[in-house]
Amino acid sequence: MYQIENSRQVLDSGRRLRLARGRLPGVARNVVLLGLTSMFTDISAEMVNTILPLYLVFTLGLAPLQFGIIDGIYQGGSVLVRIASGFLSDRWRSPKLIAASGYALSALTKPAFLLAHGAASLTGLIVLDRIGKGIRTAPRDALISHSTKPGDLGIAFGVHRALDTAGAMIGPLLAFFLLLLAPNSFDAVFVVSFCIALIGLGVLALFVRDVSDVEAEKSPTRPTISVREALGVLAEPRFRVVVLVGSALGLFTISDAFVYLVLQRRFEFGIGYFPLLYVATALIYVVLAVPFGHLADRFGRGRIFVAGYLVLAVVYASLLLPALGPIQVLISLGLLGTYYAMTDGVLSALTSGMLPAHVVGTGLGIVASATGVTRLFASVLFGLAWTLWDIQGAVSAFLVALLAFALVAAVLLGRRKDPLVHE
Amino acid sequence: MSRHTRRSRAGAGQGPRLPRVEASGPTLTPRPDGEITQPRKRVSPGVLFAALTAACLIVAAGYVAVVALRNQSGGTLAASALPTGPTATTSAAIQGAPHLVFQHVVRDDNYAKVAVVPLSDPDGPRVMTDLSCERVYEAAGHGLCLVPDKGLIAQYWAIVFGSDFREQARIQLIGSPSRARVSADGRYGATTVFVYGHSYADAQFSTQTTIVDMARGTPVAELEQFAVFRDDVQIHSPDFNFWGVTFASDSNTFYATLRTGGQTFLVKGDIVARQLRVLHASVECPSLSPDGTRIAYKKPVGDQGDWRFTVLDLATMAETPLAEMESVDDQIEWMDNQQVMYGKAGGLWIVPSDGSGSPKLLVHDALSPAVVR
Repeated sequence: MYQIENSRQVLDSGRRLRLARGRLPGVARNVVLLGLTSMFTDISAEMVNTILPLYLVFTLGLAPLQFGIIDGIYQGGSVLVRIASGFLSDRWRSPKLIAASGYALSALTKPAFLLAHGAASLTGLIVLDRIGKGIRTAPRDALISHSTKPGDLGIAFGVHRALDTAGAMIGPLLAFFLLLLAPNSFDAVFVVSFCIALIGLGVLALFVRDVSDVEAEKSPTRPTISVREALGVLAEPRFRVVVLVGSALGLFTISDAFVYLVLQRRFEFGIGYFPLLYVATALIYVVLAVPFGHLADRFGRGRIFVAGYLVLAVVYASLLLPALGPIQVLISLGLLGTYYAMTDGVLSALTSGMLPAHVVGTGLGIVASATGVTRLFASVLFGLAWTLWDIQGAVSAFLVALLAFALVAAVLLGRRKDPLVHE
Repeated sequence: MSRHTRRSRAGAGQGPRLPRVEASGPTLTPRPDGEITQPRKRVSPGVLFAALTAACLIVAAGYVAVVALRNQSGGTLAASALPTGPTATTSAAIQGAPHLVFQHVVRDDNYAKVAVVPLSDPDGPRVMTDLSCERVYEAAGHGLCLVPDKGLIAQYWAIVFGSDFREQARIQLIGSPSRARVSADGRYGATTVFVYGHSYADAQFSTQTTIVDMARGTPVAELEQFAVFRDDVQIHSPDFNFWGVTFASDSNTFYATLRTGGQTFLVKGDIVARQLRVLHASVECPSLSPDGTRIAYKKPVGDQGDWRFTVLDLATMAETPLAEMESVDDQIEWMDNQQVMYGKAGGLWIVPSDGSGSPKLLVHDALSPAVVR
């Protein structure tokens, strides 16, 4: 659909270009607004996530094991709804509506935390919150894609991820500040979190334009897409390659928590520093997301994506080096942030750039679900490897496997610059 | 918003900032196909967003302010001019004679530091230690200091300190500090923390009370692990809560509060035997007199969660209400066998233990007192 076939499309693309005018070249107002929505939502979510272990273990007296189980549900709960919400946003041509329902669901769980006083109700709320996150992810990325020229997808997703991650950094600091103002008052954190989530929802509902605003006049009579048609994206070889490569690389991705744990064991600093490790990683991600998005647009998204996993391999290698000094921790964290900047938004740009517009939501949902499932599996795998061998052995195994898969991925994705499905 | 309006906006060839169109006045806009759209008076998204944001900020800021004030009330008074200036005295010099150890609660650089004053001049110049505590107690050169460690992840500690006020050991607590006591010989200590809820006034709360070996700096037992007897019959309930330990002179015997079924009881405990016996109803935060004959405590009165300081004679079980008429939430400390001391409104007060007289302010800007002889 991005090929210019007639004058109608020339006019449309002109309109798209005007839509794309924003502060950064190629970044539409809609993308910045979605970024702000995500930023507010992440402030809200990370405030609660920061205090949740404390709240669950200390305030409600849950054992750490119970918390571990809840945490697992919490990480995995959102994965499966992603495909469904991506498909529905294609079918109803209203990713904004689907995304808004996801944001609203997560927002509503915040005040409910005040009322929940048992492990069962808390687990339910955490799962609901994660389902909300699962619902909104694919439609939101689809909307970013619809609002952006194909050549600028990398930078657009970079801007969105930078704002999103900035919110994830502000959240814990805000929670920390609130607990300083009113020690032990978790209720204050929940209330403020809810208020901020509402502001994020307000940005989305009031300012963000839905895809039908753009699409309606272009092809108003296009029939509603069926499940079979939507899943037809999987028949597309280039898309299949992205799904397979993304999933396979996800399978050998050590989760952040484990990376921090390995660093902590090797350098023997207090567990209290964990939030700082997180902030350092996120800071580098925020700073580099836009530049790497831009590079991805210029030199090929597949190439930057694969290169990102090579950076991750360097992070693993740094975990195996002898512990010399704290500067090593900073370098590892910086590289971890760089890996995120080169892969997270870039994968969405790569995916949406190669898909016809009417199935972008489904495609993004499939990629998000597939990588989410394999990453979850990777955590289990790494925990198992750690138990069976030791830290060194587990990290070494993941390093070798990751390098091998990254080389295969480089052959599959790196040869051509940004393949388009419909070319 | 219907699809019709959306299309009409786009068809009218408006610029990219479509949301603004909704605010574009009541003029009739002819569409290219000749239809006329209905003028609509709608609030612009900008105004709606400003209203939403303002409402959210007000609610959030208001709630935090209320919570912060709620936490402070019952805490401290505003700073007042106090003789806290530098003195030539050291804590060691004061510790040679009967003295008072307490938490300094002036909102200055020394806020929450442990202070020491001679009992002969309790409201005079105080010597500041380097120890900061939310709750502090000391006996026979062994001290307990309960302190929150406010990081991104808050943690709570019971710090065991010696007569030099230096940390000897620390034990992690699972909730926010409430009470601390040390037996007169310094052998055992006891800590109470709130695991759930933030005060005894909450309808629902949960406490954890731990007995500590002061010499080793390690926990000995939690009161939940003790067998509880009432009229020689062992009783069980998952809703048992214990708090506010006070030790007898043999240090193996102690008294504490048990709450179950919405009622509080005085229990007498035996550390070696791991047993508790219910002695008397409606007793909270007991404190045994130095001569071991009486218990001063908070007696719950009325249904508004109020207390009245009362003294119980252990021989006759006779109750004597004290002259402090206000409801105070503190564990009493005996000044001597005739007077009791407690923290109220950010100061230390004393009142006779026989119900006579009236409360007198003994020390300004201080809480959590321990009389050390």
